[in-house]
Amino acid sequence: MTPSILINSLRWIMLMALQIVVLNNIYLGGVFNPWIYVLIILSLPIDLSPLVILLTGFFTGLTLDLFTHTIGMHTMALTLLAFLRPKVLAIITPRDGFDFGSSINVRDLGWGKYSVYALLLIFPHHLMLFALEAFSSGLIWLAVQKTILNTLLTFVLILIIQSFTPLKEKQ
Amino acid sequence: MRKLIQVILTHYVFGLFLLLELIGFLMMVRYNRYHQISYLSWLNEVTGGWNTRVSNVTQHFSLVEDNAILAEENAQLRAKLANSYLNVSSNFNPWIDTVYHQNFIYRDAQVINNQLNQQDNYLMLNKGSLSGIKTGMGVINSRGIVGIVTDVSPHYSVVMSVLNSKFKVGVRLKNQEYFGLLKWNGGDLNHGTLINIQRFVEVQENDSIETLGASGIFPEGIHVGQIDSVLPLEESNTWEIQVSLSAQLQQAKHVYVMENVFKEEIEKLEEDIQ
Repeated sequence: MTPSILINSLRWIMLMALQIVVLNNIYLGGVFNPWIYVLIILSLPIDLSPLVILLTGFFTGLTLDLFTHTIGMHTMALTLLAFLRPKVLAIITPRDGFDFGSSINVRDLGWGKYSVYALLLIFPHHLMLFALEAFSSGLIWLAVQKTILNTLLTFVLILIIQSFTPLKEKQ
Repeated sequence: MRKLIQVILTHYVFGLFLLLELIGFLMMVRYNRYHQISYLSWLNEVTGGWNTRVSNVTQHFSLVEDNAILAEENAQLRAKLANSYLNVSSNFNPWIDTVYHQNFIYRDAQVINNQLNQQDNYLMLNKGSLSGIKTGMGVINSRGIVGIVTDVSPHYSVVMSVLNSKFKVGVRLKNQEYFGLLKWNGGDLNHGTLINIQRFVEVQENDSIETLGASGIFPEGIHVGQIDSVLPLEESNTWEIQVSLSAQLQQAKHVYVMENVFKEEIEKLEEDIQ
């Protein structure tokens, strides 16, 4: 259990740093704004209880909010993602359950299942986030456009990061 | 039994999810200026609709008094009409006068919600931005000043009333032209406090207090109230003056929202100073 906590804490720190220090300072046409910190929740261990995931989502979102001065917005969006994660995970679970010791990444799930899993979670998160950013019915179309663009962008970035994940030797 | 526990557990997570989202939402509308304004404006529309319904019923109970107040005001205004004046000097004909320019536009509105029991009281009016009301406009009734508009939604507006600890307005003694600040310390709904009047000014009880018109929110010379009692403020060389407010907000139903035509010009100048 200890290595798992260590790995997840390290991932938390590195992804948050990447999001806050690098990605939040890149403005591409004012529309492209990927939020790869969602990978923190996406990559949490399979057997973690929904309650722990929900609380992790809430406090991770709140932490990011404090750095981006958007109190509440990321908190709400990431809490939604954390709530939906167990439900989406249930969709892609094989009939006889996951192999013992497997984790949620491209290597263990395969490209197809991982893509379904990631997109089904990134999309609601981004929709919630950009809708809250607009916070007015007049801007909702722009919010939907930004959601679709950035969902794809975040997804591609996550796949790139996944391709760098060192391959653990399988026991 | 195990299934039951499982059901409770899953719903427990859902309940916590809703709670966390609510906390997130409240933080968002509390700490983000843009979200706060949008949310308050939306809330105005919702509560305003409800308050209108209540007001539609309750306004009939005070029709007699309201009519008396309006008739009294009409009499005062008629007395100011040109045909109420006798031209005693045939040398001058002051009919067409280009020296004066309209300074304040009055819009009538009705109070649909009137809060009186707080330290910071607010009123709600049945007109909003669609009727041309903007934040920062002054509100009076036929008897005195009522407050300043602080929030506007399309159909409703919120007024910070005189009975609010944040409300301050520049006023002066009617017959002496010395000016000070009027504020409200809470408690008594009919009394405010006038500060910053120097000790050397001879203040009489029952003197009238009127607006100074310095900030451009209220016109000059609108009746505010009368002096009740005068006491020296400790450790200073000013008076602390109790003023009985004439507006009588408990009965305020019909009010006027005043737009200063030159407000932008005044604000621009004030910005230049800073």
